[in-house]
Amino acid sequence: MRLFLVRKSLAIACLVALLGGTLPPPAGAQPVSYVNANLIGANFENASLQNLNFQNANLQRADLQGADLRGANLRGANLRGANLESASLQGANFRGATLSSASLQQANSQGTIFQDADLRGANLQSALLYGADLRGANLHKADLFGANLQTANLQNAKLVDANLAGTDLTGANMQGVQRVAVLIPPPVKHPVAKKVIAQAPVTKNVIAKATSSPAPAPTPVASPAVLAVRSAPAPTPSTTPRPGTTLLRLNANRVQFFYDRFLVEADGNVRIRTSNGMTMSGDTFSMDLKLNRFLLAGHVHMADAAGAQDGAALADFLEFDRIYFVPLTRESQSATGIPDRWTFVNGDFANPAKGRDMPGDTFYFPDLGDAKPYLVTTSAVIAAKSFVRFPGGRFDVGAGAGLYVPVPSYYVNFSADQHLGDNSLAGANYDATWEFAGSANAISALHFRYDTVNKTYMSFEQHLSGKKAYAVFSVNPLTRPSKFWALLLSDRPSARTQIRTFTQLHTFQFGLRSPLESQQVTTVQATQALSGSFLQANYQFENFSLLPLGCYQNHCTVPNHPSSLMIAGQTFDHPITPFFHGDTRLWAHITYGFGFQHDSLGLQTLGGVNYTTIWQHQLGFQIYMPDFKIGPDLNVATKYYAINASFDKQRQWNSAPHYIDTAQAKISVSKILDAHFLTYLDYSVQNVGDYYGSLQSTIYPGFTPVVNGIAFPGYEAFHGAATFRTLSLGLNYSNRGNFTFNLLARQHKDFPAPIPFFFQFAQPDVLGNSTVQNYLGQPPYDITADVRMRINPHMSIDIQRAYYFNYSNLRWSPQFVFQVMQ
Amino acid sequence: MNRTAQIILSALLVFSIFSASVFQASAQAAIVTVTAQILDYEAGYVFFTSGDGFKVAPNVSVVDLKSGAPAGPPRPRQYGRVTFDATGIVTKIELTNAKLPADGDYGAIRKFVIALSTPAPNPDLAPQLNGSRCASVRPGKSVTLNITVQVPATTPLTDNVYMTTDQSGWNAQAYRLDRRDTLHYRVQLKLLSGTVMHVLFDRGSMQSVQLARNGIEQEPYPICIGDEDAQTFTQTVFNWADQQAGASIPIPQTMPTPYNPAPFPNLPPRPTPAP
Repeated sequence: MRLFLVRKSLAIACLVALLGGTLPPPAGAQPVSYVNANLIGANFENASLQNLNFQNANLQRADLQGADLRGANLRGANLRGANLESASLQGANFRGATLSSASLQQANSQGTIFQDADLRGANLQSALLYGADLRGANLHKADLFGANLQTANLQNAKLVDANLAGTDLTGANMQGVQRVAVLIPPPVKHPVAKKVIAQAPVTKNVIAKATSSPAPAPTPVASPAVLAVRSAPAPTPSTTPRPGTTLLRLNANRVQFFYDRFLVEADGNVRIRTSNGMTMSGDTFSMDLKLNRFLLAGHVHMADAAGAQDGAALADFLEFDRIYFVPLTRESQSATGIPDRWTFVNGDFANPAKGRDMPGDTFYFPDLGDAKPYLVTTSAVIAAKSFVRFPGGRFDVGAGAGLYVPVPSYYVNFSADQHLGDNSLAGANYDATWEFAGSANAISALHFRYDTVNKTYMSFEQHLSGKKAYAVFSVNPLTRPSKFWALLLSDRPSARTQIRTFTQLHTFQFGLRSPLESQQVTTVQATQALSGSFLQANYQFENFSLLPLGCYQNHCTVPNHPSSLMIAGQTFDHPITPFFHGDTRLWAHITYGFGFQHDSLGLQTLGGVNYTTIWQHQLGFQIYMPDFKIGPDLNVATKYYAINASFDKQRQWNSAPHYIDTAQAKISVSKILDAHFLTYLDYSVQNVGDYYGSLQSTIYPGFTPVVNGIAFPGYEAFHGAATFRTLSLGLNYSNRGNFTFNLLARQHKDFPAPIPFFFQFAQPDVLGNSTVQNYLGQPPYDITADVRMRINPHMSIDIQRAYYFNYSNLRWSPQFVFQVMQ
Repeated sequence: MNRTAQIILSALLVFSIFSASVFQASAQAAIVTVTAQILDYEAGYVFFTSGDGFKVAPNVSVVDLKSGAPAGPPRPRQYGRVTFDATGIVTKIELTNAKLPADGDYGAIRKFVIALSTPAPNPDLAPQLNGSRCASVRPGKSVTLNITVQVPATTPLTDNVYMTTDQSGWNAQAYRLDRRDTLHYRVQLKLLSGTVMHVLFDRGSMQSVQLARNGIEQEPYPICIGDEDAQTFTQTVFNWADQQAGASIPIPQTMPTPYNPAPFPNLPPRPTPAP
């Protein structure tokens, strides 16, 4: 009976999860308590659950993402596999709770009580665990990457095999902690990794961190061993960052930019003017754009409206609004001044904090070694955390080779705004981008490109980006007759809504003369996130010709102007089974949609009827199982096989009386052999059927093709239902990204069977990617080899070629596919 | 008497030799030499990149480290072997542009640092309540980063998966991942510790970039490279932007083809019957 109840509740939870989570968060009529409640798989996403009592509740796999659980009582609760990402857990009590395999990524757990909690395998990446009470907690295999555990109490906690990479344990109580040893997470527990662990320098480091005093001695480094290189961590003062973007206008005899390290180095007669009115001069300047700090050294003179001061060096930590200064004060009888140490806090130049200790690496220059600058010039405009613009100079076209050519201006954006990189260009074998103008919100760029179709050509791209919206406009290829003019717009009116449009105009024109062809397509896409699913509407209309009907120098117009609308939904991926065999379980989602296709000139003629509008609706689902591990030690990546499998099925009904079924099953077994090699065996079966009922033989009449005098009667059996079976064997070698080799051998056993010279061969794009799915007549065997090499710190070259075993007289793919990646 | 005088003279001789060697040794011990990188040289002081300033003798010898020839005044970024006398005055600076290995007892010269104000603790360096997501690391160490991403089951076997980052100007094809199995791709990178990067995964263009679980665009993931020997970063891609249930935004530089009711794009035409 109990088993039945559990199963029933699981089934209900799965249904709830799949249909988007209908369990209402206790917002309106809040129950006083959820003590002992059965809330398996419940959806509390972003719910306000402050101070509620969940003691001993069953919250397995519950979705508590972004939930406010401050002060809640979760003592003894079962939260296995629950999603607590970005949840607010301050003051919550999880004493004795089960949180194994739960995700607490980026959760705010300041002062949260996890005493004796079971956190095995929990994801605590970037979690804020400052001052958390983790006494006796079991963190076996927990992922604490980047977590902040400052002053946390980990007394007697179990940290065996926990991932402590990037974890800050400053001031944490580590008394009685079991094995703070393994910093190398399981996937790299190959023999080499073990050797690294055996050397244990990292372990020492962490233990040193853990046992150091809460206020680490910030005095300048005492050992000469660290004098010559930057070696001490920068401070992270908890202060308000300087408002707005700081602009630095830099001039010097020689300004160098090291693109791979985002360093700007300047020497000789350095002058700096900042956007807040300060001017500085000195002999040498060094700025780390990513760390957002700069150093000015040698005969430093700084001045603003309030006064001026000379000194030996100045380091401005823009991120934290701290300026560390070594002045030469004239407060004594000395004629030349006496050195001192001043810290200007939050721009207060009138009241320096004198004598204050400084971070150890405050005045360190980066070790450039023999590195060649990417760009050499005499001035730069630097916007903190955003961009650097060089008004001119010479840049290295060889990207490390030292082949410098003059350039009138150069702009580099290094902000975290990905929309400034959102492009509307197709892939190319080689692309050298010259960003010749830009600001914090815009980039203008010319692309110098090569691909095997258009050969060498130029493209133009303009990016604009704001807080919630962005736009990209491009012309590509700019210097070829076949041009694509693209405009991409996106707006996010709210965090859960996004609207995007894409308009593309294709013209065939020489220069900007009257086009011989002109087509246009526009897509409007609106996405609305719901609590457990999302809806998306896509409307697309096309004009296959914008020119008056006719032919223009053999370029003839096509009169069609179809349109289509599809409103589709998809549930989130949800687990549909409990954990089995360790951390494995099945996941699933459902898709559904309805819409239409329309063309006033007709879409399909069936039974004498010309369909100008075809209504469509569709339903599908997908189930998958990631990483079912088999082997003697499931914690060592080289000692187990991983089985991954998926199955998806979809049916699309059309008002023109037919439906299309698509089903695909995939299973693979893979093994990591050592630090460099991995291999996998993959088998997939795809069934695609187009069903017309009594009209089946009319639409798909069987016939026997005769090619070069040879009859292929097997094709007679094909009546609209195809099966694609693919067995793949892959081998991958990787040497820390410097050299990668991939070998993929495939066997296709399809129905209908491939017939040489009968089926049209599907051409891959310029980068070797297949752009067509479900194509008939794939070669029975193929082998593809791919080699990728890093040729300098910021450039790789990728070469690929396939062999087809003489299918249709085709041995090798017609050409190598190569790509230069930067 | 003569014998007594000889003994006394011998004793005095031994004492004087011993005293001379002891005094010479102690005089030598007072001279300290360290290597350091120069931050500044002005107003009678030389400053190291530790931020410390030291008094320089008026007749200081500034020479080239290799040749011993007189050199110009020290410049920032140069390395030097610096000699201090017993009173902490810099008497000799041997300069080079090449990086010098650390040498000498820096602790022995700390007492000679010239600073007007009394050292005071820095509250910024105390533990912080709301620190960065990435904890402090010791920068500059080469770290192997293993990135594994789980992709949707709908990802075609032959498709390439890439990682785009702010380190590469959001180039959609900056880092290509290698297929690990049906659902996973991976890449190994060698990065310097202290690097903070933001990443997203895509299938070759920003039109095929990953979406968040709720169908809205995914905020980039921050990765902080710590100072361990190796790190892993794992993520799950739930949706690709170009694989939504309805129509998707077209891939640039392709125009949609006319509506095809058949699910087979290269279905051969049936033969026309002979007349």
